[in-house]
Amino acid sequence: MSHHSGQTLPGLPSRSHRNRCLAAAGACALLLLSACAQAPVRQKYVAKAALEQAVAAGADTLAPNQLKSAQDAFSAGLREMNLQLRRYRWSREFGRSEGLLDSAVRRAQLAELKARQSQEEAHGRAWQLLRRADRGFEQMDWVLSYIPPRSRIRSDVSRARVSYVQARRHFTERDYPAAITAAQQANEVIGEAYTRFSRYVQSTTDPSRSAGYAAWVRETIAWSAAKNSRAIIVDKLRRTLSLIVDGRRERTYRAELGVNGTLDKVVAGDGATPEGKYRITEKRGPRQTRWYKALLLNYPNEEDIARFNRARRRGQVSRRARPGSLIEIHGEGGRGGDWTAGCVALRNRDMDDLFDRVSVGTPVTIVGFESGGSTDRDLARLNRTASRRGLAPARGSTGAGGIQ
Amino acid sequence: MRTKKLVLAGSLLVLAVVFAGCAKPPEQEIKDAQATLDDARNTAQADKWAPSEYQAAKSSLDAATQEIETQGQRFALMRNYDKAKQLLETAKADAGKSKQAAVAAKEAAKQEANQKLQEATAAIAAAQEALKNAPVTKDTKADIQLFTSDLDGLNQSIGDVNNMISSEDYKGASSKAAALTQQANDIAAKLNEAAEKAAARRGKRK
Repeated sequence: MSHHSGQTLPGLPSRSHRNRCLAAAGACALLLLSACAQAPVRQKYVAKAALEQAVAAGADTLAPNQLKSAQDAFSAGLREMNLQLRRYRWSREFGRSEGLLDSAVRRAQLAELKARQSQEEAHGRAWQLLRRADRGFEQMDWVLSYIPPRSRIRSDVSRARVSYVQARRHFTERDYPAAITAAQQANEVIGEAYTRFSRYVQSTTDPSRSAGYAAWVRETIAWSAAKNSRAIIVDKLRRTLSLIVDGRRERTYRAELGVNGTLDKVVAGDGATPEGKYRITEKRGPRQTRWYKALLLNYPNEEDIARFNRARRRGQVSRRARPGSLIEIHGEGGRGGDWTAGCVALRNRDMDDLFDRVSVGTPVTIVGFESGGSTDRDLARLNRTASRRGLAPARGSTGAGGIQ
Repeated sequence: MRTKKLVLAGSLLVLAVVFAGCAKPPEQEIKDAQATLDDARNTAQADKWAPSEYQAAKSSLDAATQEIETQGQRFALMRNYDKAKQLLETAKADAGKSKQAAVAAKEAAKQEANQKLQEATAAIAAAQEALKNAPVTKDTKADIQLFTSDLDGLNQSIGDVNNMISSEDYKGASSKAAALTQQANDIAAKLNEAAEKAAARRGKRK
């Protein structure tokens, strides 16, 4: 019969006792499970995020070794974690994988830091090179005032500007390595232009010509002193016109020359300004010239014609060529560069000043350069700039005491 | 005695069959995948021209290697390299894709560089044409010579762009050519402006 329900058989534990045992076992199991080690899932995501951040900072290109080390630690940490997860719960041990993942985080942060530092360094280097190119162009502006407009030096500057524009564009786009390459090219081409200019100045200030110029200048000043008269000296390298009164330099004006003014004139149309000892042959007022006022010179003189004939005999000029004429000192200058066909141009107010102080017959001596004074200072400046830019000094020394 | 020998021989046979039946790491597949990845880098410069695709292929190979290592740490009878083989197949396919992507990207960069070069050449030609039409007077002669020198410099830079294309620096060539076009357009604009002013002056005189 069923009246035994709720009772236990003798020798067996009572139901309530069994329930208590089951509850205790369950509690023990729960305790055991809760005491089991937890997989370092949080560390895994922290490390993954750190790695992604490092890659975003450009560590794959800027700090590849550090990034690789972080990635290796991360992979090893994951491998170890997976290995432990395959074991029985109570025998899992995640200490090693935690350590590896923490190490991955530290290494990824290091890679990110290194990448950011490299980025900053590249930014700084690119900026430095662009500034250097800026200074180079400023110096070239000064240099270009000494040279004819049609020259390899100007072409070089134009070429350097292309690289400079390219570098600026890369810099704005934060592509610093490309900006560095382009800025370096710009600086190299500026350097080439500067070297060319050094050679050019050296040839212009050739000692053999220097002696001749110095003699002309001495003679002109001596003549002015002896005759108590006025004379004009034009220094083509300095772009100055000096009025000599009684052997003393009374006034100096800024002058502009022919488009190839630093060269010695040989033929009509060469844009060169002649060198030699001339005289004013005619004074033309405002309505007699289109260049405000003009002082005509006796170019070509006998020496110019003799030089032209020599050049023709040697086949250096064509048979149709002529030595040219109508070389003047005139107004409408002040344009900031050489522009005439070979004449010497002054600003109108300087022309006014000079025009009234000279007369027909006044000697005009035009030289490549005058030794001493500001020519030496200019050439010393050139030397300093060249050495600052790390350019090899031009060979030999010059009569003007310039390039050493 | 005879029974013992039979038992021993039987055990050895079973053991041999068990070990012979154990899964082996897919070494040939690893070599193939690695070779495909190396080929993508060495022949097509995939790391330069298709960096994300190349990185994806590399990650697939890393995942496969990781899986092989994981399996290697398991009990011999429990090892299963099916997933690893699948990952290696993916890695090989990704490496192939990265090579294709690199070839395509390089070709596109080359075409872009050549296109930019053509634009720069055309811009310089237009500036030279403007220079020819510029009014030559005593006033403008110096400026014309200046622009001629500038254009000489730009023409030399065209040579630089060509050299960059020859050395496969397509990105550098494109950016230089773009800078060249900008410079040439600036010169042409100035010359055209000068020509227009001169024409206007002539018009006034009439």
